[in-house]
Amino acid sequence: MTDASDRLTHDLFNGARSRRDMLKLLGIAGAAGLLGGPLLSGRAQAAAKHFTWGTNADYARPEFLAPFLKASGIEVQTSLFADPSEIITKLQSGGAGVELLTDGSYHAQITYDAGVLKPIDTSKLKNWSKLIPGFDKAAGMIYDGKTYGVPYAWGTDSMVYNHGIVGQDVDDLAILFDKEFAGRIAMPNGLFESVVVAALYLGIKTPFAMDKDQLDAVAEVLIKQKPLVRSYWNDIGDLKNLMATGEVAVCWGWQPLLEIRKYDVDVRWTHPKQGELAWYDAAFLTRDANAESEAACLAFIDYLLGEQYGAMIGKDIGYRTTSTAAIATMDGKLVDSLDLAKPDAFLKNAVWWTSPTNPAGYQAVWDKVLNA
Amino acid sequence: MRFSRYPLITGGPWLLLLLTFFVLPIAGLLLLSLSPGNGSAAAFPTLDNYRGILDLASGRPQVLARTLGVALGVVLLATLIALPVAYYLAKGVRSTRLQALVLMLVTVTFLVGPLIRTVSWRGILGVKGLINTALTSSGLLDAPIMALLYGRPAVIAAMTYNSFPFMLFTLFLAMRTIDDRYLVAARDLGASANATFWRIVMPLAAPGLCVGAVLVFVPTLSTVLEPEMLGGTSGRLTTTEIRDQFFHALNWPLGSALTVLLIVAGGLAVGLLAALLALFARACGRVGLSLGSGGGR
Amino acid sequence: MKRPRHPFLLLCTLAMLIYALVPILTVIAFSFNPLPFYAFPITGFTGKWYAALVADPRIGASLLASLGIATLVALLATLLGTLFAFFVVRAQARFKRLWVAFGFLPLVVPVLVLAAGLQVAFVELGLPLGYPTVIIGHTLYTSPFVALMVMAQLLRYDERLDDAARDLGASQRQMLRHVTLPILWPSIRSGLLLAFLLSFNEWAIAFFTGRGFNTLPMLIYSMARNGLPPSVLAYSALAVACVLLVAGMILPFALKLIRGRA
Repeated sequence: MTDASDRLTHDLFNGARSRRDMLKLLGIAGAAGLLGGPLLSGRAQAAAKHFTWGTNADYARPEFLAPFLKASGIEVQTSLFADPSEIITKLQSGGAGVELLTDGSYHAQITYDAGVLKPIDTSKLKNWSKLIPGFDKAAGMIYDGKTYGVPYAWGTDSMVYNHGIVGQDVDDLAILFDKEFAGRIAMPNGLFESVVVAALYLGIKTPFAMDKDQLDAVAEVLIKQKPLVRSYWNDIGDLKNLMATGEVAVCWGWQPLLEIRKYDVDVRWTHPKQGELAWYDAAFLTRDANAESEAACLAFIDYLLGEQYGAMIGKDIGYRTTSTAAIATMDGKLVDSLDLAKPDAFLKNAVWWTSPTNPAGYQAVWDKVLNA
Repeated sequence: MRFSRYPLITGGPWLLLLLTFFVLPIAGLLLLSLSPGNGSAAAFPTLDNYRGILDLASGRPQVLARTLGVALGVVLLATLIALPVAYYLAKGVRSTRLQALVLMLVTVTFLVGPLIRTVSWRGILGVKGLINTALTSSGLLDAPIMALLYGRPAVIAAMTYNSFPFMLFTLFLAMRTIDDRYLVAARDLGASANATFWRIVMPLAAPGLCVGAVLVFVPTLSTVLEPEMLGGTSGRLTTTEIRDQFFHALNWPLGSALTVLLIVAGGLAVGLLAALLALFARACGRVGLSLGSGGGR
Repeated sequence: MKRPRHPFLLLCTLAMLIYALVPILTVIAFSFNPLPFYAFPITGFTGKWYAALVADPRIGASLLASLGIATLVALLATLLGTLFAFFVVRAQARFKRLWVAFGFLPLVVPVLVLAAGLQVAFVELGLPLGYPTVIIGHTLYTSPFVALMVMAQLLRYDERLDDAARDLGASQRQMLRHVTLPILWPSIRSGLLLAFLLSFNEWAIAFFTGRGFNTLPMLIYSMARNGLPPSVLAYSALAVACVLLVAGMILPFALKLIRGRA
């Protein structure tokens, strides 16, 4: 403990601190000063018969997990979050006990930088070869030549419009910034997405690695757009409501939005000429996993890429699987409705949505827009 | 000596719990707020974060002022709603059954968690919400009022909704303990109903008002739900900024500095609120009422 | 005594009830609406969201977790908060003002930050995350609220009542049991209820300092990301209905309590 403490003190005063080190230092100071040592040194013994998956409620519906328990005898416990950034913050502080994690391409770099991940030995995955070609080396999952994430669901974020109101086919992001639709535009609030959308609109080639001038240009466009925007949406339920009631005519949205077609709302997905954002949600192994739970997690990843899981999420919640094995079992209508027959064609205009190289700079732009 | 005066027995357990578990996070917060933010080249103790957030050009001081203003506005609204009701229930209604019924109806709504309580306002204020549907279908309006939802009015309506019961309960309790004989005496001495209320009831209920104000102000200051769910493009408040800095930008030093600022501002506002209410109570008539942390009588 | 029965007061009370109940009534209405949108007019009547609610075992499990935590937290926070209220109002101590300010500090720390900070503290102190840490965290969060509630009444408490009890030969315990606590009971009870509700609805501390379970707010927040399913509205409607039912059954008993103390 003293060694670590010395090192941290040294780091601290040499200006090379990470937040984790800072917390460690505080923790040591606190523990030493207040209690003279840890109260308890209990560490839960992770057994291979269960592990904890940090994910959101939809991916972990009980009916999606039941077949795995039945086949393998391994119980999947869950730690449910609303946004991956929450569980990353929790993992960073330690003791979270989450061994497997769902995170998106749009956030993976931040998670990797936070130092909470462990590489995955893909040779141990028997369904690795079932991935749709391209997903085995998609942007955001490989660092230092090692694979950290296994994509199991994917889609794009793009412009969606209500055809009945707009009255014509559109493929130009300009209408998101058009006075004609003042008060009937919705843009996303989370994950710097609006910043990236504005970059696409401006034709910036590196929307995730913008320099200062480009960020300034984006801020200007977004501030100019702000009076036209009805709402910066936070949850897809809000957006569904806005689009279904006709309150908003055109928005930047994501896939579950199309569910409202079931209720006779003529919303249409676009492949804008300026591009759209392709994402995947992947399973990541965390440093909380030990050898035993790692084996259980890998077995579960195989299940995610197997025949059953992908077909179930496609049918019940409208998510696209990355597994060719699952697609093979799905009926043709479902495959067509999810554009799973030719993913390449669907992704023609898309760029892989990765986390920005400089989150603080992106946040500063978004702050400026929100505070304007 | 009676037990309730022993500081160790009364204050000991709570303060010990705080010293064990609460000092560490707070110390960490302070230290983090003094360390350089992401991408900064400064050395450890630095005021850069504070300089950054106090810079008027960043818009943050304005957001902080707005945050405090909204919270104070909510306190005012909650008081306006709760004051007549508490008075009526405590002194106007003889039936404890009715008192219990009204208070219980209000309490029960809290079992519906804050998320749903907040989201439900979309169904009321939206373009196809309750109000607009009623107004347009009855022919009173041709077009729905867009400004009801997604903006500060909706945020304030929901924040008040989520917090006014605290004011109601404390005021009711405070007024119920006022001895009816005071009111009788006031009337016998020829005081009007108004004078009785302002010169007897209000000063005696002042501790309740003060505590209620804090109970409303404090959670309102630290909530992110209402501005996120109902604020549209104008939902920015200091708490949502803090959340973004901690979770999205992963800039904990800046987030910590913002938090420290909010804590200081919130603490000052609570102190000011208590002082103002004490003044108010005195102005209402009775001198020497003890409020806040004063030592009893 | 002539009671203030001004029609204005009655009107205010009715308006308050409408304000308090209409959002909940709309939630109940939408829980029977076939369309999953929060928009009028209601297009029909369906029980399918209730069927979906029953089909998802997670709501029951997380409800149990939340109820268990909130019950324990309410008891702990009431004890600590009530004691601290006595400290604030009656005790004499050195630097008392500072201690009092420190005691109420948790109130002004945004819960999200408090939660993240507490997790670090627990981990570094060597406490494994789980139910106990959530209960400690929620106790830290709710106790000051209870203390404030009790203080509101204690500030107006006439200590001559205690003196009288002692003059009549009551012991410390008898005085507490028969004089002090009964008089303070309404505010202690309100504090208990407040602590319960705050803990029951709290998300951040439960998320960051818990491990191995999901509380009800955790489940609902996670579900809300992809659009709050109407089954959650169905749950809300059921919860309100159940509590009203139970409250209706224990009301006579509760009334006896209130009347007895009045």
